Amino acid sequence: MVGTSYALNPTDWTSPIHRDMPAFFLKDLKSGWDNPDRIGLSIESLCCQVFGKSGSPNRARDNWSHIGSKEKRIIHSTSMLAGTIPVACGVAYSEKLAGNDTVVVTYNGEGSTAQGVFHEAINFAAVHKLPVITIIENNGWAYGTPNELEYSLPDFARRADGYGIPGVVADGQDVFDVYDKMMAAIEYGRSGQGPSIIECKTFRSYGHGDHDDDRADRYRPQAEVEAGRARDPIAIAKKHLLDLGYISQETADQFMAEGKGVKEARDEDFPPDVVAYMNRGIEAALASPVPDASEGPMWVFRD
Amino acid sequence: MSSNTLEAPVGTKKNFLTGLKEAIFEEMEANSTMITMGEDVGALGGAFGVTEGLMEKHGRTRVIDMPISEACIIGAAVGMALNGHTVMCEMQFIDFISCGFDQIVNNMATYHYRTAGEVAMPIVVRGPAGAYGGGALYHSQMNEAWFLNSPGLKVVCPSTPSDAKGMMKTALRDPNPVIFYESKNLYRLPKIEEVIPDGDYTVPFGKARIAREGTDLTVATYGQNVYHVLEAAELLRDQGMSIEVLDLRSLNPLDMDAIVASVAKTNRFLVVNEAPKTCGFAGEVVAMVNELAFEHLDAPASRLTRLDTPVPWVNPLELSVLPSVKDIAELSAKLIRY
Repeated sequence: MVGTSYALNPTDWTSPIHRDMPAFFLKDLKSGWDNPDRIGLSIESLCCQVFGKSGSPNRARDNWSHIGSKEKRIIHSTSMLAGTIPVACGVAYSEKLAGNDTVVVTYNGEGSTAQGVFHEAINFAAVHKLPVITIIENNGWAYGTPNELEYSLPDFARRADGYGIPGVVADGQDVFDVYDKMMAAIEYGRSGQGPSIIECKTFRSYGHGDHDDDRADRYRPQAEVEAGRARDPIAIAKKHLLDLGYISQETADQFMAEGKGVKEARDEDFPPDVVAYMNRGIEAALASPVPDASEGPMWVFRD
Repeated sequence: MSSNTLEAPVGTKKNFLTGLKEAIFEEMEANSTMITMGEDVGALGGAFGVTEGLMEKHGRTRVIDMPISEACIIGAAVGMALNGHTVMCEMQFIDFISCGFDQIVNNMATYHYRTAGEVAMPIVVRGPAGAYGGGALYHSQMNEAWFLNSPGLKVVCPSTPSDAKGMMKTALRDPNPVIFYESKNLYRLPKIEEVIPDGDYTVPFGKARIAREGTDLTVATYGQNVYHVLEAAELLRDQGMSIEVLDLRSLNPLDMDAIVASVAKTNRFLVVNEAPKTCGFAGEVVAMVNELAFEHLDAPASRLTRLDTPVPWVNPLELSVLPSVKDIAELSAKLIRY
């Protein structure tokens, strides 16, 4: 999500799904965390969403993981997998009609690629050469179903072949590999050549959700978990940056969460300014009121 | 004199399809953000010719011939609406709308609600609908109940050329998604041709039309069933019974005021439609009449619908499952004598 988001222009659109919480916030991060004009969700608004508070963009109407903002050019997610890819195509069509070179990025799990609407939408995008970049985050599992029962080929990027569009595989654990491939896809889309697919091979640290952790230990081979944990994205990024001389060892030492999943990582594993920033979001969410019950029936229709 | 070209002289009678066309052509002209999309709506002009000439006028980027992908048609319309467009989606037959069902009920219908009013969805999904024509299972449906049971959608079904135009204009200016049912048997039906008011006019949603005044029984209906009911009313007049016919026009919003006012006058109520009975819209209207007008009723608020079957192909199979003029007249007489 960092590698793909960082490559975008502020005016590009994204369409994250509910598994992509950081993507809502990472958009246009280059313009600065605290830039009030940043075209991405603020940490306060994101935390209000997660906490179900009225400071959230949707006033806590849809669940914690479903956000979006027309103003911030983030397409609102739903629970219907691949269901927002045609929406992304519609946005891309409209941007193209207006003569803009905007690209639209959709994020999906590999499980979504088996939905009919995935294919309908990619087909439409290919026919009209729409600048839609489809990211497939392949973590090996669609909940409890492994890759080999989802698709007959090892690389989900091959979904692209049927539509005559580029499909590449990136190392989803390596932010620089993702960034490079994203830059190529953006260039391809912006220059009017059409849509493309990037499959990012990644790893699911835990179960499908909290409720699934124990069961995941039973259906998922332990060796896969160990291999995944051994290829931590933070460690890989640190090594690249140190090798290239972009950061000092002292800076690298501030990022100590490598090898730890989100449930094991602690504040002291991150730089203090990152922790302070996150805490600011949490405090804002705690201070934001729960929406009033009177809002429940509102907004079914616009007058 | 009748004419069904858009350039016909003022005062000529026009058919239902021309009413639709006039609204669509005028709105495409007036609203530069509007996009028309669907299967074969461009070069062909739509399977029934509703968009004939539209692509020639506005180009293939605003009149889009889509792949056979109803889910993508609706989903892409949602994206266009999100980015500021008004979109009209044609379903080649309204039966095929089920292929886009998820996009309609989970995406389009909920968008305004789940964004707390941030995003409007000015989308009209329209298409030819209804039986009584030998269309068989997949070219005959009235599936409005699915969408009436999905909060966030307006659902309408006009029956006259004037309403076709005025309601299509209202639909295309509505910030909410509208499912627009067109009884395809009415498209070119000569007997319903009429003079369509000149210039820019709209027919508001949520207002029923009294298609015939009467005193003994209120029959509410919509779409092509309006003409079946009017025919039955004519038969009953000869037997000394006076039927008030309400053309509901708009199912959500529904003009309950007009229904209750009519029932207060006639004290009897029947609703007729060609959709299946169980959990259908007719049952909903009956329930509403019981809740709001029980004290006026001298007979059970009743419904006459299609049987709970698919629509079979060959006559007499097809007509055997649909409400006929005779069925309407018989049930009406029974309710009046109750």
